[in-house]
Amino acid sequence: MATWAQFAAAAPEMAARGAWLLGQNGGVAFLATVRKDGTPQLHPVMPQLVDGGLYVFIVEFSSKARDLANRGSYALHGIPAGPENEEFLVRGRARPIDDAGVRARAIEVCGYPKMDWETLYHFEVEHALTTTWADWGTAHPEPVFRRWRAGGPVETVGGGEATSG
Amino acid sequence: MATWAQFEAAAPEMAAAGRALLYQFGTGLAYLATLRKDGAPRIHPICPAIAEGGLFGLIIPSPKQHDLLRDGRYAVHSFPMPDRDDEFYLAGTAHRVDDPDLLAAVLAAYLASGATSSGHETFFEFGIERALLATYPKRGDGPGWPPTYTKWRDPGSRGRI
Repeated sequence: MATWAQFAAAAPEMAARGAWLLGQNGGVAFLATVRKDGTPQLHPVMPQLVDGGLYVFIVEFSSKARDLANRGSYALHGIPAGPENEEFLVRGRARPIDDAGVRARAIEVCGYPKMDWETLYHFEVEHALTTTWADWGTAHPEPVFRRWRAGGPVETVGGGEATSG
Repeated sequence: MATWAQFEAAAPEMAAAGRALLYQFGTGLAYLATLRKDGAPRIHPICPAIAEGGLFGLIIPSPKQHDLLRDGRYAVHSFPMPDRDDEFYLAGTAHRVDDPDLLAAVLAAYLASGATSSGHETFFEFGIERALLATYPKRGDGPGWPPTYTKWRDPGSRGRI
C-alpha cells in the first residue's frame, strides 16, 4: 500500500494523468465500497490531492462511512474525460484521519468550510490503472491499459501485448 | 428480484426519471460496481441498455465479466448531470442471458442508442432489488442538500436500501 506521493514517484506519468482526470467534471469521481452484507455500493465523491496524499471528506453517518469502517477497501474511478475519453482507476484501503493539521490543510485546499461530521479519509493506493485508446474515433477502438501495483513497475497492456517499464 | 418492467410498473415516475438519467447522453451510460474474488469492490463505466422489459449490460471479456459470472451482485449508478446533482442508483444481482431472440433484440436497442459492439460481449440482465432516486435543485438555485430521496425495494427481496 502506498501514498499518492509514492505512487507518483514510481509512476509519474500515470499519476499526472490521474490527477488531471480527478480534477475534471467538477472534481466528482465515483467511489465503490462494500456493504456489511458483502454487496457493492456506489457513491459520487470529491477526492482531493493534498501534500502527496489522496483524501476524501465523507459524511460520518453515511453508508459509505459505514462501509469504510467495516472493510476499508475501496475503488475510485475518475469520470472519463478528454478528447479520447481517458479513464483513471485507483483502489486500495481508506482510513479516517484524526490529525488536525492534515484536516486543516485539506480544508484549505478544498477551498470551502467543512462540518465536524465530515470526516477526512486518507485513501492509500494499492493499484492504479489508466486507460487510453488506440484508434479512438473508429468503430472499435482498442484500449491501452497502464497498470501499477504498489512496489512494482508500470505495466502496459494493449492490443494483446504486455510490457513492463 | 424484479425486472426493469416490474420496477417500472411498481414505480413508474421513479423509473422514468431513472431511465432519463441513464440515457441523458443519448447512449446509456452508468457506473457499475462488482465484487472481486477477494471481496473488494471493482468499478467501471458501462453502457447499459433498457430493452424487452429488462436492464442489460453487454460486458466484454474483462475482470468485471469474471466478477459477474462468479458473483452477480452489482450496483449501478447514473453519471452526474451537467447542471444538477440528481442520482439514480440500482442494486441487485445480475445473471447471464443466452436466449438468441432476446440477445438480438437487446443488441438492436443497444446499437440504436449509439453504443458499439465488438461482437464478443456476454449479455447480463440486472435484476433489481433496490432502487434510489435523489433529486436536487438546479445548481445555483438555493441549498442543494439534502436532496429529495425516493426509494423502492422489490417486495420479494430483503435488506436495506
